Amino acid sequence: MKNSKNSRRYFLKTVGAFAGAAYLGLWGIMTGTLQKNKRKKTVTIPMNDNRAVLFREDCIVINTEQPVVLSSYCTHLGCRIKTFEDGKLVCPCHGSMFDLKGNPLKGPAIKPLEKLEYSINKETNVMTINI
Amino acid sequence: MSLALFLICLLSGILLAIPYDVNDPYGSISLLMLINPAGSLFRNIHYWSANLFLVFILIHIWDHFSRNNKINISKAVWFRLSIGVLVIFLAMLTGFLLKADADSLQARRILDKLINGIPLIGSFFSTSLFGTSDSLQVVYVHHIATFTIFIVIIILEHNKTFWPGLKETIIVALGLILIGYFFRAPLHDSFYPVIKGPWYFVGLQEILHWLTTPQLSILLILLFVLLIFFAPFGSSKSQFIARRSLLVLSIAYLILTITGYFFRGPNWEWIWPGEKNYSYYVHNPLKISKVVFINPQTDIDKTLSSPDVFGRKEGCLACHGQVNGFSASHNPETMGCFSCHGGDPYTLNKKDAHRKMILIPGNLKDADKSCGVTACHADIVNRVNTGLMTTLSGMISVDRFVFDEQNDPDALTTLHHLGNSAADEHLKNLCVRCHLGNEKTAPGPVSETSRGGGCLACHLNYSDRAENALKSFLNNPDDTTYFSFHPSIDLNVTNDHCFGCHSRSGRIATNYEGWHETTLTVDELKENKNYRIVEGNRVFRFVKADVHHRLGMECIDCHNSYELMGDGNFYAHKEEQVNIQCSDCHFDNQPRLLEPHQPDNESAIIASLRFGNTSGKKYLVTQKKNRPLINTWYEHDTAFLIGKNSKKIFPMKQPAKACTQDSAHKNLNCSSCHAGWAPSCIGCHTEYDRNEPGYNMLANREQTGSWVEYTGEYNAQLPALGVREEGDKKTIIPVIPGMILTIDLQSFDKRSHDSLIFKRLFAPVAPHTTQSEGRSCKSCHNNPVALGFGKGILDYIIIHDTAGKWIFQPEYQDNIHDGLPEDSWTGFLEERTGITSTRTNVRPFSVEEQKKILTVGACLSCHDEDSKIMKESLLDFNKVLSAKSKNCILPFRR
Repeated sequence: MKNSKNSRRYFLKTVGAFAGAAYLGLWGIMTGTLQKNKRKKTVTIPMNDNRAVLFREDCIVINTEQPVVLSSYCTHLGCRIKTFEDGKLVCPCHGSMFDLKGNPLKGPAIKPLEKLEYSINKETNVMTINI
Repeated sequence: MSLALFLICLLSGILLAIPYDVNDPYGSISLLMLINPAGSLFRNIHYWSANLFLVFILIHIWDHFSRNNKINISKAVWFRLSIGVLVIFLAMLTGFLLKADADSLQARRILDKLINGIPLIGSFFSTSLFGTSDSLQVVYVHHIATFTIFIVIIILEHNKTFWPGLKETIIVALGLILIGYFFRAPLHDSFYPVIKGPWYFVGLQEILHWLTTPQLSILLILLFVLLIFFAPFGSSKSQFIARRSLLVLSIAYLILTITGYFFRGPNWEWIWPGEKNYSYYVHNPLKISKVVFINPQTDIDKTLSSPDVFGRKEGCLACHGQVNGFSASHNPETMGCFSCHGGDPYTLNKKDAHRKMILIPGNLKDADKSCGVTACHADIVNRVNTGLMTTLSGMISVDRFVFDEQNDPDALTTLHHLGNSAADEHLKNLCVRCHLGNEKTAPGPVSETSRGGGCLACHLNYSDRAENALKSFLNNPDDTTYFSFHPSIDLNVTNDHCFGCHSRSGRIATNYEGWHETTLTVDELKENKNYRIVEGNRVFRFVKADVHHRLGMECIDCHNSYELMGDGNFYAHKEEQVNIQCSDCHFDNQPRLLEPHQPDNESAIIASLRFGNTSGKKYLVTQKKNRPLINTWYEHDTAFLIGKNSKKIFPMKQPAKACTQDSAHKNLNCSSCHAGWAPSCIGCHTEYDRNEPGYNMLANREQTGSWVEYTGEYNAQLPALGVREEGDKKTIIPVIPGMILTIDLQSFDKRSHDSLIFKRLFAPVAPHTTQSEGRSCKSCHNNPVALGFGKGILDYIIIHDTAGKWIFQPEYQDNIHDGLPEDSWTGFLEERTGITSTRTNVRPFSVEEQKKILTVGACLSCHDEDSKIMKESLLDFNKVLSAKSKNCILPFRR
């Protein structure tokens, strides 16, 4: 009787397993939807500042004649890079260093910083970055 | 005990949920710490109970395994318990994330990326655990519900009861109240230069520091969980292996935790205990910081009405809200007080708030905790320490060379290397007060006697109101007006800022304004019209001001940030650090413009702050180091300069034809001709007096025994000229007597062999007395001072119809030590070898060069310098000589 497929325990285990799987499935749908619905951030930067390195929450603007916008997420572990020392971008968490084009100069990061797309409105001279 | 800790953690957490705002986590915690003493206490209790709970759980696990008892529970229950250990860590970590300070925000980004990197399920897990990056909602729910419920379930399953004993609960509660009252749960801000996770995370942070593929660390975490799971099951051999592995891994992690916690500083760089700022960089959890009771009548209102600074409240602004005088860049409404002055921003208790506060921020000894914090000017503060105004390398090296303690005057050194030798004591007694590291110890504006003060040396400006309020406060400490007027820290660096130091030694600050220091005392002064008394009773006589000064230009109109604050390189002498040259602005033909290169970050920011939007302007750049001159531009074939402070615009002149088309003088530095005058001092004697009341300028303390200088006479005259050799390049430069002196070394150290040192060294100089008219031809070619012979009568005489002769009658007697006249650099038509100046690459004219100069001098003794023939000689001297008449008699056989 104990191992019978008709036992109450077997029934509850089976129902429980299905319910658990369904719950996990629903959770997956919820997280998937949240990821899909994640609002895209738009950062706008007026370009009337002189050329400089600007640090924002998610991006770093290297404001040269041909501006480069880099992700502020260190490619090692995502720490926010917000320090500029000796002409290099420095990650405060684990000490990785990058040049102003985003190329890694010192580990532990080995990948270059992600380059972000941007547009500049020529009339208003405002840079828009979609993150 | 663990149950009691957990229960108290739970209850304190429920209470904390009331003031905590998940939409303003950092701000709500700072507010709680300032005006909610009970909430502050509960936060501390919550923090300490959770941490102690974790410690007790780890001890409990250790205890289980070390006793080697058989664990009589099912694999399923043990599996949940093993997972439970991970969940307890997650509950702790989410608590850490919820404070949303600088550490937490970085930790969240790390965890997010780490979990996202797990193949296939990473994204699902990451979103499940942390939600979206712009909200802490999911983290909050997991912290207060998901993980807490899971922990309750496993406690019940493991322990059969949730309730601790009453007695131990009371003891634990009392203990936690005490701990919570005295020791605060940490909250860091974005100015704090060290980013560290919680103590149980720093071991992992250390591992991550070494891993270029950080996801491997997740395997390590899983290995830990699996080892815990397998430790009680299987054969005794497998149990032994699992437990030993667990032991080894735990000890390794403990070592990594100690390493990460105690030996890592900013940018995760190694730091030793005792190193500078160690106690600032390494958090001491046992630093007493009591919960502060407040006055609900006043404290709450003034705190709530104070501005939010970097997303949080600062206790400082609750009391010091109405302070005026700041520059826009340093307005406390946007950057608070703490960012410069330190102290404790999370308390309203006056004593606690001001503890370890930096009263005068900007001094180099603590600039890395004020001006140089990561979010502000870290890059510049690091550089300042390499600059000559901080190291004084040239001053120290020359002095040691003169004292025969060093083989040449060009060695790189810094003030930190000063010891107790005769030269170093001499420097400490008489010279090294002028350096940026000299600490400013009292509030007050920059004056004529100011020396040092780090960033403040140049950037401190008192308004009249601030200065008057300070004076009033010093007379009457009860006058609190002082606290309403703050001096400004800004870019308005004026000549007055440079004056304190640069009115000494080469005296370029006073030269520039036309003042020459005399040996007169104030009492000896009969009329004031042409004299100026500088603070310290120094009497200056007016000679002639620099043309740039007469036009209204200031020091910083020529000198840029990389010259003044260093460019990160160590230099032996100032001419190496100085970047600007006359020809950068007064260029011939085409200018050097900053195209297609763009200005560096610092220059761009300074240009923006000074002049607004200057994009599109074509800056001139320096020839030496390619630095943009941000107050210049070039348009319509003209270069312009704008005064950085005055905003006056100056069109810049090109050099005269005489300067550029003349083949005879192309090796001359501009100031060789255009320096109007330079100060000189000869005949100095230095000796040590053991009874003289002296001063140690490095330690800033009085002492008995000091080197004493007996100076000779001061002159203001056209400078002598010398030769700087750099490789094959020879440049004629102005020089002045640098060190014509005797040093009684025996007076300092009787055992010394050389009891008396004599030195005759000239020094290259940038006189800062530029005149638009160059000096006359005769002032060089017929002038014994210019040629380095010293004052006297230099005359060209015709011996007979075919031969002439130069004769020189010195004004000063010959010095007994070297047989040369007191003020000379080299003998008349004599060669001088060895190191003859305060640089190894600067020397007087050789005999050959003297002859060439004097040959022209012979011509000038008959021909007017404006005559046609002399002008022709500038283009091709040999051609003119070949066509000379019979009446022209040259001094030297050719």
